[in-house]
Amino acid sequence: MSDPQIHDPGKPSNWCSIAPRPHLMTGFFREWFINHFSKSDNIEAKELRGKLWKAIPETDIVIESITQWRPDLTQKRIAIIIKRNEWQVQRISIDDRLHDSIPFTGAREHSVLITGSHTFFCLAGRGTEAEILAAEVYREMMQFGPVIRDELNLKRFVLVSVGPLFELEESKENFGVPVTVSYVADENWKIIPQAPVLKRIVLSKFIP
Amino acid sequence: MEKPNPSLNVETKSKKKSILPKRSMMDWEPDEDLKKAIVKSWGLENNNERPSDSRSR
Repeated sequence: MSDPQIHDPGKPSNWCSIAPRPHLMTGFFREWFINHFSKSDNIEAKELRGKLWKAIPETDIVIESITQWRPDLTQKRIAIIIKRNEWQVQRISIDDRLHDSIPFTGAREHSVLITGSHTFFCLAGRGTEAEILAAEVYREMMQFGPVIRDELNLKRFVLVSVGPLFELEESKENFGVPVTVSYVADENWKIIPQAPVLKRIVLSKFIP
Repeated sequence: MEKPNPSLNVETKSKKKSILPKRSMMDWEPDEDLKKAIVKSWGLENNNERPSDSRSR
């Protein structure tokens, strides 16, 4: 990643207050690779060092979410197209409770694990180029995975697979390699009642 | 009966075909093997253990 900054653990990032959401994960991954391909010094493969991302339509490399992608967007350029796969909710306790007992205030704390994955399609006009781009992408994610896991407060972030080369159906003479990463995040929330639970019990009714 | 002209049954142009499978990116979904690998990577398979935090290791 380019331009690393010292993270002050005393200042939680905005990410912590909004929790993982599908579109934010996609946006984060896009930003990550835009940073990576903005400086040639960041790029490991010498064949790709001249392919820099620019915030103009004539950029050397297209980095987009699959929701923004059109076949004419890439043409002969290399591209990283990001697609979210299925997310699942994993139950870790009965009623998703964080604690067994509920305090007198009635405030309940709950927690679940969110598990998911993203796939990065590394596209190019030649098969070899797609393979080189896939290597750049997977090595970046594998090597910086532990940093990303801490930064996003994830429980797990791992590279799962670098899939086989394929010919793209949507775009003539384009080749792609799917690179998949998976992650686990926890989602915690608190339900605070407007009044304590015991306030609803009128004791005078029990006094003879 | 007129015999068919064999030259009509021969392709005159040899079309170069890619040996790679054609796949749609828009319709792409992880196949069963990849799904299994993803589930395994979460570390939650066959138990309800919470994946341990790296800082506690």
